[in-house]
Amino acid sequence: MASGTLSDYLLQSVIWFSFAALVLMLLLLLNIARLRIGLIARRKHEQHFLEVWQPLLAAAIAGESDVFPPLASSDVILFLKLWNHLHESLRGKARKHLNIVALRLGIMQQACSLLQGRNLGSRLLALTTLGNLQDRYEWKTILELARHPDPLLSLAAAHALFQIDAGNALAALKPQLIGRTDWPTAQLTVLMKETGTERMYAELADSAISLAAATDPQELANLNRLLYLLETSPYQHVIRAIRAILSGNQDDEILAHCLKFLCEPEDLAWVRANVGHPNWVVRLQVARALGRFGSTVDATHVAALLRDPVWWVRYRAAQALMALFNDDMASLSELRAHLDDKFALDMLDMVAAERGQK
Amino acid sequence: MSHYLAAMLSLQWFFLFYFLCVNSSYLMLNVLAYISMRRHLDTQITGVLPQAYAGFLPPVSLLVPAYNEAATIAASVRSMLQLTYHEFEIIVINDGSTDETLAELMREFDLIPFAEAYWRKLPTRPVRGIWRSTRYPNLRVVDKENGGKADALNAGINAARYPLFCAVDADSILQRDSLQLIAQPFIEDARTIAAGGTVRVVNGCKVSGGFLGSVGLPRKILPMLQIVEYLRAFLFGRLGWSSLNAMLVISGAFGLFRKSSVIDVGGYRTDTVGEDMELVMRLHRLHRKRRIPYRIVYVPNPVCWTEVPETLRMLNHQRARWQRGLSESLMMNLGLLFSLRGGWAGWLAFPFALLFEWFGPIIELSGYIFMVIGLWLGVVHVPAFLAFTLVAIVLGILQSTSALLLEEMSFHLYPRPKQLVILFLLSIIENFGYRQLTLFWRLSGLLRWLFGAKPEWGNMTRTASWQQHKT
Repeated sequence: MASGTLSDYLLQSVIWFSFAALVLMLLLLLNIARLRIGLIARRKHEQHFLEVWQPLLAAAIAGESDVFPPLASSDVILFLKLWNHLHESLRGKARKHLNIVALRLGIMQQACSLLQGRNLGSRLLALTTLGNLQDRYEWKTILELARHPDPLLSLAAAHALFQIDAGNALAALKPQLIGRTDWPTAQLTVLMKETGTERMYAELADSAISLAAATDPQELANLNRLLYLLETSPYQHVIRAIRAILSGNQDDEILAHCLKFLCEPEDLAWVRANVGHPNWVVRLQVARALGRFGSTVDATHVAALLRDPVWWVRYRAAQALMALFNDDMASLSELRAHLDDKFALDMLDMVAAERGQK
Repeated sequence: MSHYLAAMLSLQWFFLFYFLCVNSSYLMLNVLAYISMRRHLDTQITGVLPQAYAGFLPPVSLLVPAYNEAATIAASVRSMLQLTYHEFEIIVINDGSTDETLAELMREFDLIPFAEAYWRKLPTRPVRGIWRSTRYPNLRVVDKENGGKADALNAGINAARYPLFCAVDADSILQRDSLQLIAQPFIEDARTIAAGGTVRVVNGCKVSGGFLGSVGLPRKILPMLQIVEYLRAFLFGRLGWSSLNAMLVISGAFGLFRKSSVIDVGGYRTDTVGEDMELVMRLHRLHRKRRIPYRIVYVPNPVCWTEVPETLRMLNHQRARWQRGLSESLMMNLGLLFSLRGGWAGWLAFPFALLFEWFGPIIELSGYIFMVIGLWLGVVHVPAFLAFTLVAIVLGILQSTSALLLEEMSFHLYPRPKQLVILFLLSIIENFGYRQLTLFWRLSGLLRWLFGAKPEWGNMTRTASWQQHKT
């Protein structure tokens, strides 16, 4: 670069480098053009595909048609997207009709071949399809995928297995369900809500009971995940598990989580016993529980929580008081008159204003 | 003379080395962004299906700091009220506006005083009152004394009820599903403490009812050039860093945070103009220091549209402020640099920001000056000068083209092929003056910070020309 110091070699390297960058840029440009041309063609094709298949599938859902044109291999992904979208938007007979369409068109074989491929998107779509088809034929392959390290792929596979045969899926995947922290609990909760049966919840409740006295951090984490899975259970035996855990476990997080489940007057003793718990998260759940199923007798406990140093506990306590007095403003005013804590008064006023708003 | 030549030679090697480092870093980011985008797109294939777990997304408090936004605040809030999300509240923080912002809100949303038991988790300037809407139960307004955007956000955090809060600029145009998209990482991984989305340029677009109607290009060259810049910054900059959990910036225009994590690190700092960047850097630094597992992620979907400056003066102000914000954020979080548990954030992203983004303007402008003076004095050969100018320009265009490719393979928001051609031409044009100009503005921001000049208010005069296009 400087006079007499820049070798021809360096200069040439820079020129070659520029040339290479220029070629790369042109390649990128060509790629952009290719993508845009592809996009335009794809959109046209997609529009044409929908014009043909949407009415056909609508007729099939209504049980009015069972004759379909052959599905072109280039249309498989489009068809699977449409088919799955409809499947997840519909219920009952309509789904059965859709499954018949899929069987007629050999969709299962198509989905199986996509499953063998390497493209993540296609594999996810294939798993969704196989789950919706609820056919056991590919059980082993899907089970293998459910143990795959990739959380997206494995969770999609687990979801498919639960749709196919929830009971067996739980038996096969319970360790993963409890132990795989890369599987979001929200999605597992949805899974259980969609497919959970009484037997499955009972099985999970038993597992929770077996961990009731856990003290090891890993076991406590597993127990906590089990409690998430049990959250959507409408069955009574879950409460039995919760009571067993409450009797045997000392962990604050578990205690707070268990309090969320309680809703029977016979469990009030558990709740009342923890009004003065040192952990505010537990006190918060106590306030909520008392609001949920406490009686006017508990008003003194709740009033105590209304003076709590933590804002959230006071907030939940004020809401609980409203619920206990069933928004009876006269009784509340009487209680208010006995309060001398400014924070408690402020909170009660705020929640009263919120209630008025609703 | 030989000393003089030796010095020139050293400088030449220094600039060449710096140039190589900058471009190989960008190349690395490009590759990472490309891989991340492919995966993101693959996972979106099932996105056409109804979201089964949408109801399990955590509730969100939308914090909208407003200072003298009387002209646009009602429209902004009205559009925010229409977001598709199962549970959210909107908290507008009127930061001591001297115009009709509060009156406008009171009139439009029938506000009445609310007896809020205000919890001062983070210190802020005094709150004068809290109001709630009688028409929308999920809308509250915090009226406080002026303390700046960071102070307003802290007041908003204090009033927020939900575990996640979303900091939004009052003039941001959001997609209807933006909260749904940006909240997803929080249920996919419990370690997620913050998520940022892609911010796009609204100038030239059509906006109807507070939502984006159609995407277009602005008529003026300055906002057009910024479109290319935004594509580069978001699509490969943030996406690349995010894949390493090393993203140091979440745009103040739209970002979602776990409230408890932000309170744990002390909330927004009020002594910097780059409060958004500083907070993210602090979240990295303190979570790493305290060995708390965390993730700060980037959602590549376009979720927010913002108006960019249309005049040189405003752009100059904005860039100088950004550089000042960067300087302050880096200095306030120097502890992250090469820290024992710094990870990619401390060992790669932070040094990158320090060397190429913070100190970059000085080196790059010195490089330009060196070349010109060298050419003038005859110590730099014309072929060498031309060769290096050529490589600098080609690499500049290459970066922008790569961002255009990412855009085209993902969201292809610009529907007409002509728009793509214009964007490509802009990525050539920007190398002849615009990049040098922004470099100069950044340098002036850096120098002003170095010499302790007082920061200026971050207000931008919005033309809101997109509002004229209402259909």
